[in-house]
Amino acid sequence: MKEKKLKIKDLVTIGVFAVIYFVVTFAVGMIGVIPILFLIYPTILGIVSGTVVMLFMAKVQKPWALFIFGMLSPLIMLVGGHTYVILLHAFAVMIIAELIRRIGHYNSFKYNMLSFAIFNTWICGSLMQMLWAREKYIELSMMMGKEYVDILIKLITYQHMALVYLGAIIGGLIGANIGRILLKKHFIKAGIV
Amino acid sequence: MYYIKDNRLNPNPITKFFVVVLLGFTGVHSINHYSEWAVVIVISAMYFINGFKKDAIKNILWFGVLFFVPDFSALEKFPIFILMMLSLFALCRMFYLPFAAGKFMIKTSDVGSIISSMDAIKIPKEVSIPIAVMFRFFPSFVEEKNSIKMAMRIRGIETKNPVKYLEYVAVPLLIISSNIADDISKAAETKCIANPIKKTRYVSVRIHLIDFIYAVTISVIVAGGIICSH
Repeated sequence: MKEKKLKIKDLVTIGVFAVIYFVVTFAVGMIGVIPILFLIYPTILGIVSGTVVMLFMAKVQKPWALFIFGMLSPLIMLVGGHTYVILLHAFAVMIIAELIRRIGHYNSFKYNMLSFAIFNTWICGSLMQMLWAREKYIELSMMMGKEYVDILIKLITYQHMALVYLGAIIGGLIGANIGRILLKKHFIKAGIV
Repeated sequence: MYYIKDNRLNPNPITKFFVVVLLGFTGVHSINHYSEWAVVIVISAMYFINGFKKDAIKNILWFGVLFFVPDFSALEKFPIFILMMLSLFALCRMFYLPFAAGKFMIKTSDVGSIISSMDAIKIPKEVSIPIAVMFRFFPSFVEEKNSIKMAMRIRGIETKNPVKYLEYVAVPLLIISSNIADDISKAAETKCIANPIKKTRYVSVRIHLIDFIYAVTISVIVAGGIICSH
């Protein structure tokens, strides 16, 4: 297969979809007001944002498009007060997602779906930074009482993070399938894809 | 239209971004309390000399609230569920410094200077064009969303079912957005965006004395804070 390069049109599409994706991320992130719901946040995000990303992948079937698309949201979050951890984490995740898409030659649904499931785990980076900053967080939570800190220590562990990742992947798979249904139902009819 | 001129007191976006990343370290490694206050005061001073007096005061007040409020011992008696809610405070407190620097960056830099500073440090066009488009597209996104909601109201479509609601709003929104993407790229092509020569920009980015002062002060405070806390 001939290698295709990104054109201006694709770059503009990346920018436009990145805005939509970021707005969705932010809107879903509102559930984080109750901190415990943070743990299912990646799953919900996957289900909701599946349509956006699947439409994007259907529209731009070229190498590195998903990578650039995926790196924009972490960049905004970095400016919005997250740490460098989220950027490095997203970089690793996006490389894997991009490679999976490459196996499917960018147009097979099966590989795009898997790629989105991996793509969706980038948001776990915002939880990972809490894990890495655990000591500081616990130190700050000390005034909340010993009991609370004990629960926190039990809750924030690597095993639980694995569950969150699993949740993100499952959410991604569900979201991708919803995306496919909507693509068939509306977007192909409207001549968008 | 409101914009800020390239004045001598406003650091350029590169410096501001560097400071945001630098303060990102404080989210993970704690620094001395005095240095935290010093960072907040420096950012407020930067707001102040750029004419954002309200933001300067707000910045200090917010940090003051986050710093002192969670500090009473009565908290321990609350049930665990309320504590969960209150832990949001601790989270905000943890990431306040990078957040404040990021807010300063967004408030005081206009789109033109961000784009031309991306040119200045030679960011490839694969990254700079999407970012520029994001700034361009964001207002029209909000506009389109409101008009879709209006159209729904006119036709009397009301649904409490979140899945249905998502479909009703998201599908037209995505279709409109992908049409707008085509329009933007046509407009950009007619203005020769693909021409591989050096572009000229309305806003030029220069390095002033204030860039050094801002970057060096924050670096010294963060470095000092990390050393003092160990």
